[in-house]
Amino acid sequence: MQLLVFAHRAEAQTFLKLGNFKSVETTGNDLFFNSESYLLICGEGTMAALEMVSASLGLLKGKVTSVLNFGVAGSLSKKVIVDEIYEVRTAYAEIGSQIEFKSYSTKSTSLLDCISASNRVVNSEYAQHLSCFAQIVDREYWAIARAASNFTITFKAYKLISDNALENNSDEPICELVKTNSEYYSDRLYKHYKSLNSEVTNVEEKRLIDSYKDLYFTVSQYRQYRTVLKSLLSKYESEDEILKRVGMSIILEMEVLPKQKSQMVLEKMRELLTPFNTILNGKINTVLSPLKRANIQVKLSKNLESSMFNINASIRSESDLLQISTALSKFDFEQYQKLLKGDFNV
Amino acid sequence: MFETIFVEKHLASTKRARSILNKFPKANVTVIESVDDVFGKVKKPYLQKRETLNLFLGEKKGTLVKAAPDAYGLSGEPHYYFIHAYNCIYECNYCYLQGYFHSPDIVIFLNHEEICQEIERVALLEQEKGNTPWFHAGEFSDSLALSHITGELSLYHDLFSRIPYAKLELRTKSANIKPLKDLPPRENIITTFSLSPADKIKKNDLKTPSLKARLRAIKELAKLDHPIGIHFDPVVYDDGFEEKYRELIAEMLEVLPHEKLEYISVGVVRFTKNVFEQVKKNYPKSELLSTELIKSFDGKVRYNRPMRLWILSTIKELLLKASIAKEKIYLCMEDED
Repeated sequence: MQLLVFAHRAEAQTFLKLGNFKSVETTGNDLFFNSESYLLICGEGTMAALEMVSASLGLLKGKVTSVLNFGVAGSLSKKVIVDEIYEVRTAYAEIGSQIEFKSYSTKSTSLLDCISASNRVVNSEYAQHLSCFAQIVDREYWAIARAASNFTITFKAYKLISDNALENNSDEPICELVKTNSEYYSDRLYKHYKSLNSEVTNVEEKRLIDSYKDLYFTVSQYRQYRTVLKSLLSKYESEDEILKRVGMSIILEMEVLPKQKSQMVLEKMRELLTPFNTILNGKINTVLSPLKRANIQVKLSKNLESSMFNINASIRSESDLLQISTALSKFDFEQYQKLLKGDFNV
Repeated sequence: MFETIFVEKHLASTKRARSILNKFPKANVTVIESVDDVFGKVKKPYLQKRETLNLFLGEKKGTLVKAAPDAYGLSGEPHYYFIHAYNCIYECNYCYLQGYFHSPDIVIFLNHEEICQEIERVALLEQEKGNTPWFHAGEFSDSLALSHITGELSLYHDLFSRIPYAKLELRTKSANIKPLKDLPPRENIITTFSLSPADKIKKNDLKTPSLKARLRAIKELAKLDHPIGIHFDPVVYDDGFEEKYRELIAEMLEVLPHEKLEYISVGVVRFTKNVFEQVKKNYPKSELLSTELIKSFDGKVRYNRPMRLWILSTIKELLLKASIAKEKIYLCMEDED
């Protein structure tokens, strides 16, 4: 469910009225719910908002999938027009008299950012200072975004511009204006909310591999398939091209179980993902084969960053000792070192 | 191009600042006390440079010329870099700048005279020690991309004309050579171009001039006898790697005769952990992420040692086969390599 957050009850009045919201009894009189969403009045200022939103998300843990902030805000730029509603891209904040480094971004395509000021913006000099960082000013969005982010919940904000903060010179007229027009503002925000396509249906994409009935992927294999495919799609055009490169037609004709065919597809795909290292590992295995044949366990350096390697073997008899000694004498260390220094043909 | 231009108060009425401001009549102009009051104060997402890029005009304070880290340039000589700008108009998806300043906005410093004085002072000290000092201009920005707007090139040209015992490297991915063409060539001013196979430029050097455009620029400058250096850096491996570099070398030599090539450096793609995290965040579909990268001995993310050594030696072989003198080839290797 969504959590709709407003700083003031007046901004939420239409939502409360038309949304048939009921109070969540265990809390004060600030958190509401209906069949589709929760609604919170968080109060003005970053401290109040951070506290209220964090507490509510804690209380509603697991129930909230996204946080939407609606409210009235001021313009800090010519391109932000009074009486328009804008989606916000990034939330910045002023904490005390300092600009806070941490910011919170949405995936919105909007080009407008919002700074949550620590005080009401009542003079143009203050507004000018804030305009260096964002085009919209409010008092709480950064805190709402921070709380949502802490709970790894997606967030968005829609701001209805009530005034041009760069032209403000006194607190009273603006606050008066906002109070007088609060019903109008709330109506506008509610209509905007209703027009939003709030739920994106998450339909799992059908994969070409699903059409091959001769393959059988276990759940784990299928998950691996999707992961490897995702990486390969940054190298190749399509799943179709990848499956052709994997040699799908040859694998399908093999007389093995469907599950084994799926495993082969996965192995070939991994080779496609790491073509260089597939060749390199093949060469290393060839050089190490005398040791492996003598049951000597070989542990190479991590990520092949060094030529050094460890061996481990069990000696139970003279013949074991002889076998190990013969294997070590057959082992071409120079060739191994050459491989680790990249001295070979691919 | 720029949404807002922030200019430091004491520079706002200078000729240099006004000349830049006049080139962007549509940008908002905000006068600030200091670049540091705004730039980097908040974490601005890197990709916002695509839509809302700001420009800062200020004065570089603190150390103006810094000693370059080891393995920076040609070995054997002292290397320094000077900072006349932060950030870049281009968007190479492997670029370390995306994790560096916490803001993609561009800062241009205007106190070039002071920077020049400091370069001269350091150069003199090195000359007294019998060294040939190198000064690099592209540590935090592209040396030429905005030079037609910033107009500082002639100042540095004058300086290095006066101190021929020191070398200046102008490192670029641009094809913006007009301001340089207007200046006479100097043996100690080397313009170096970063080149990659055409498809790699398209995929990774986002918003930069194509390979063709860069090669055209090289051809023009070489014809005018400007010394040219080349960087094959970062090299990204893929299926057709060897063939692509063979072709690139051939194309390069078509426009740049052997004798006019000062040097060529080769470096394999690598990232600090932080930059790699930024690449994952900013370019989740990039081919760089699906290549065979590992966390290396020093915490950097790169190909494993056999692979990077193989890549370096393969390119070196290709260069030697193309009759490029061994002394002109420089492989960027780490200590462990």
